[in-house]
Amino acid sequence: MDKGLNPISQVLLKIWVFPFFIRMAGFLFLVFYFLFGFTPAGTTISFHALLIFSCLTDIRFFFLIGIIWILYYLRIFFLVRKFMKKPQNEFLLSLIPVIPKTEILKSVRFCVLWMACPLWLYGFFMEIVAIQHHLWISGAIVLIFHISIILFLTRILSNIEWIGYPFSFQNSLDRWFSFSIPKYIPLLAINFLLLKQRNMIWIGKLISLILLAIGIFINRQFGYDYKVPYLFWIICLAIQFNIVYEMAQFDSQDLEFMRNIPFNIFRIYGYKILEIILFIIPEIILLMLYPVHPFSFLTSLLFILLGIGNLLAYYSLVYLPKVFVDRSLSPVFFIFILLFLLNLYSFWVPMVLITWLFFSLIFFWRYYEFEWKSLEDTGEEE
Amino acid sequence: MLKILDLRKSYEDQLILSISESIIPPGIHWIQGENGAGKTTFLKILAGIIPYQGHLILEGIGEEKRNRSLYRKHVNYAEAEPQFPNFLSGTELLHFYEKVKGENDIYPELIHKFGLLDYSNKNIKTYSSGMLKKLSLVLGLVGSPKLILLDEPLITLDTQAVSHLLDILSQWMKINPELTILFTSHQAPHHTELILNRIYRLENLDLVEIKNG
Repeated sequence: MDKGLNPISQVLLKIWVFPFFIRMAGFLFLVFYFLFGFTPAGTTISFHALLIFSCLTDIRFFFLIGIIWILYYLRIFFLVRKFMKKPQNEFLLSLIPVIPKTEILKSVRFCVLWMACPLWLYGFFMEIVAIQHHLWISGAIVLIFHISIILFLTRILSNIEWIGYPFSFQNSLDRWFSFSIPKYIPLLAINFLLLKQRNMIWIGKLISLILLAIGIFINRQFGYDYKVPYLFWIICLAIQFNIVYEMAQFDSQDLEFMRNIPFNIFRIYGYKILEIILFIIPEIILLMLYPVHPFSFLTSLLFILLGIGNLLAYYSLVYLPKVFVDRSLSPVFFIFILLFLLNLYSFWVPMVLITWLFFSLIFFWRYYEFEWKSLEDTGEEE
Repeated sequence: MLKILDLRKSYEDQLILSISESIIPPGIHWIQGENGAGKTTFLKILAGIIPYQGHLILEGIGEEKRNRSLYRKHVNYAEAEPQFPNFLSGTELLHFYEKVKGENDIYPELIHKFGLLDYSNKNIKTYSSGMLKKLSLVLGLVGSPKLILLDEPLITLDTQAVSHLLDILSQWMKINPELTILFTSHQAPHHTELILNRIYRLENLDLVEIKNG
């Protein structure tokens, strides 16, 4: 947290922005998957430059993107309303009206800019493409669109009448815009296996296979590269993300309980890994039989090792008593960005070994640290 | 002085409060009521946290839209079972309140007496219920309030902390006799160090004065 941040922005950042991104993480992973997953390595930037150019020159495409942006901004609004209803944020209801107008507008604008950053970052690249191709009007529309919506949203979110109290059409709108499906879409069947969300299993499985088939089909047009394993890796990452997120909901008592159930921890993990591998066998087969250039045995092995390494690493995070979800998310975020950047240079295979080794080391370190502390607490080290 | 006119509050067609007229003068007052009598709802309405029908006028300032900012600046509220976002620290919250409500000489003394400085930089999720209660009471005294609403302020506090709190409030009343402090409790007052001006009771949806002076 910036020390120079004023206290109002600091509090709003933690009450609105952090939960917003935790809640939107699954959705953003999915969008990232679609936007950056289907292009051959090394061509991501040129592909998007072309995509943006098409968007700026085709009115129908432009209109569609505009609707998606509006939906995203609406989601910001309704999620903030939802956060304000939480009992722990109730104190804001009596304080926000007291804050001087300029002060609250400044802080809310700061938060809106953070929450909308995926949009304006992409918008920034759109502006660059527009300038390159002298598409002045389209560029100006994009700019005015974002600036005016951000200003409008800032004004609304700084008004307690809009965010603090129910309005007559609230129920139906809130239900539509603050639902939490996106988190589960990219997470395949793991919700079923780990979280017992049985209703999601077949939908998740179907979506996974469709995504993979689309990925393979599109990649056939470009020839073989490491993009498909990379896509699959993103799914794995999203799974780990969800595991950490869900596990962080438990407190240390639950962890103590899990640790003491009559299986040792490796057996539990072994079963989980086996379950996951069995469940994703269709995807693995699909990848191995990839018709243009099938996976080699070595690549498949490395790929599975990577999955297992990730799983162990993120499970190890739950050994931290009272683990904070933001603390767990930051390594996920940085690894994700690192892999993305490396992928631009087709640097995937060596990374498999490095990340696997790294994650395994973290796991064993966390595991022994936790066990050692527990022994010290109970005086059993003798 | 707080004036309440035609105050009505319902939850899903169930009327919780219906106070036609009540004038609460400055001083320390105790509001009693059974569980479910509407004490917390009443205080939350006065604090402007939940919507209601009717009029509230504090020292001539109405809680209507055009004066809302001014009204709420002078009303402080501490919850019975305080909840704050887990990932904020006590210091961050205190700085937020100071920035919004302003500073005074009273609450730093209470912070010191409560021993809040020892854990104010830790995240609120690590606080015990007693620590949370102390933090909430300190926040309830920030700024320059004209009305302080303390919902069950004495529960979960140890006897020493209770005595510090009552001490500070009595001192503040002496410095600022225009201040109105409302305590709520489901019990009758039994703290001898607290000089109460009036005792009210919430019954049959109304606020009834049962003892004066």
